[in-house]
Amino acid sequence: MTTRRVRVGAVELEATARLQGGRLTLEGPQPCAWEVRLLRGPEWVLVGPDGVECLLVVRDASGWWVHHRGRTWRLGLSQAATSRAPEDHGSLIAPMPGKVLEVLVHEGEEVRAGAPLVVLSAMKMRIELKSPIAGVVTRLPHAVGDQVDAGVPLAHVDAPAPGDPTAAP
Amino acid sequence: MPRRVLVANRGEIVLRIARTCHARGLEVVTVHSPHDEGAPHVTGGSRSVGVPSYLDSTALIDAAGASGCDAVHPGYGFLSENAAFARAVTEAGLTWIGPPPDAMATLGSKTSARAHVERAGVPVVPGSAPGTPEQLAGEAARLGYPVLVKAAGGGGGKGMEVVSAPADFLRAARAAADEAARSFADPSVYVEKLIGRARHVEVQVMGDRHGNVVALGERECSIQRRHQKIVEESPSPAVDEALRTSMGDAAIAIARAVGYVSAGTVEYLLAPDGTFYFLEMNTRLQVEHPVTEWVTGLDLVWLQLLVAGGAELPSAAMRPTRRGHAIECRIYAEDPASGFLPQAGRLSCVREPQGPGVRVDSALAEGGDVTIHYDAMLAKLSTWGHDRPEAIARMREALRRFVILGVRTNIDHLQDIVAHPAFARGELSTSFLDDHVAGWAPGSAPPAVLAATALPLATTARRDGPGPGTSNVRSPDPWALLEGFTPCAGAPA
Repeated sequence: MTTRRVRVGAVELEATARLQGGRLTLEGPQPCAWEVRLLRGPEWVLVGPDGVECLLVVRDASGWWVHHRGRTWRLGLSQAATSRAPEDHGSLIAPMPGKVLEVLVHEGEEVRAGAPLVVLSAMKMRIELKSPIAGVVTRLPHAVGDQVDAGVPLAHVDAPAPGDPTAAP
Repeated sequence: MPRRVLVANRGEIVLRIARTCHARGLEVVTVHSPHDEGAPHVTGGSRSVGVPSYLDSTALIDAAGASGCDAVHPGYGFLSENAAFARAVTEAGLTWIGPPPDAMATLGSKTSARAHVERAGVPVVPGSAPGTPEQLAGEAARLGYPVLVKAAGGGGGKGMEVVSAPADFLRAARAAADEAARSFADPSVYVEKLIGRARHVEVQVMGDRHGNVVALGERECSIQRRHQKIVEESPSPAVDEALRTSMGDAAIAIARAVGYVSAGTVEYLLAPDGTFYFLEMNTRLQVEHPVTEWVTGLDLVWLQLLVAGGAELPSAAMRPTRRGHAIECRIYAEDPASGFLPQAGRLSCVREPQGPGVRVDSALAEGGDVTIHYDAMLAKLSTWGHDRPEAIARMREALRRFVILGVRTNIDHLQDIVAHPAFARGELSTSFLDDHVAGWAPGSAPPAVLAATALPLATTARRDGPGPGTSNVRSPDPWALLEGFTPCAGAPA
């Protein structure tokens, strides 16, 4: 039985499941069991209480992609989210590779949550990246014109100390 | 008639144009940028020529010359609406498969097009002449907020910003000008009054060199995000015969006045009170042309080739008929749950739907990469039905059967749009998504999806790792494969 913490959209949950002897079982709030009938490439055919269920499943370094009954699910391994140190809370991460087009703030500037900090150019689009929290900009590691990879921090915002008047929403 | 056509574009439209050329016995030469060496469109013709960029007109014309082409089809986007490129193609002794460069120049700049259209007696949305962001601030105040800032030289939602308050004007206008400069090599922008709750309805026109111009019906493209169409249909549920005739006649008048030849689209805003205003004319084949092809039975690329060769429009086009209803959904690599942010990644599994009344225009290859270098549109899915409910039913099923794994797409979001009761009632407007599908998020995963985490799967090859070993694994004994097989692997890009 393996337990995995996965993220589906904004929701994080535990999936405890096992494949043994051609039988797939899921424990937890929605326990269920299926017989695995057919495996063809990425396609798995399960037979369970809800009839025949076809899954197309592929795995990559950060989780699973599952197509089931017309819908596509991304199950992200949630290590990144859970192991992230609290100080990373105010980090603005590049969501995709691109070029820094504009830096709209300077270090030491106070910003509100949702304030645009950095503009990235990717896929011929102008993507405005907003501050995850209210606070003070402490780091801006990239200058206009820099090429950045996905996952790279573009800015860091420190939350104001408790009692600080700027902490008011 | 051209014999060998250079398609100066990338992706699905190259394969779409090649399909018609090959069916009519014409040869096709494709081009590819350094980012696209392994892209599916590269094998769409009998040879492919490397170019530094799809915007490099000299390299494109040289490629046409070096490969013995006698014509150039520009597709949509890139240089398709660039009159200077059209002129250069003609001056190089090649046939331009598109409108005359002068007509493109008049209609291509949105602002000179507005002036031209007003003279032709067609109403236009109140707006300004082009200018710098600083100059336009006063114009915006005169028109009254909310306003739209638009690129004078482009389309496709690029370089367009909605501004609802004067304080935001300068920053938004500068952003629009920057994007316009990047996308169309022309930073000029203008402002237009924003008409709320309007529908976007456009008329397909086609002209030949003998003075014939026909209207091939309308398309409604009201459902948009980031000012970019995602669902289109023909006919429009809001257009009756009388309105169709007046919109069509106005479109023909606009095209005729500039001696228009080839395919073009006259875009209108249809206000809730039934008044229509000219928005712009797109002097090219439109992304959403398949819905018109479905309901008229015409091949618009073939008509473009015919008229480029000097032929008269055939009778099927001169007296067009309309049959049934067609809908198109644009499938994008984007995350509808977080602001439609474009996505990049490797396509680890692709299954395209088939069946009666289903058409897929795509250039997808399993194992291929969706890169950040180009527009994130992955495919166009269109369906036809005898009536609108049948077209919708087929679209819902086809979307369910369209599988793309490895990169987030808007397929599930599209399913919720076309399944919405307001969509079924035909109650469309450019604010449809805000009104009915705002804050969209995927639901909760069913048990079988969670159980999939226990399935023994090899991780798909890393981007720069060794190519995946096996593709299309088939075995009568699945259990023999449960250790270390590579699911759904594709050929290395």
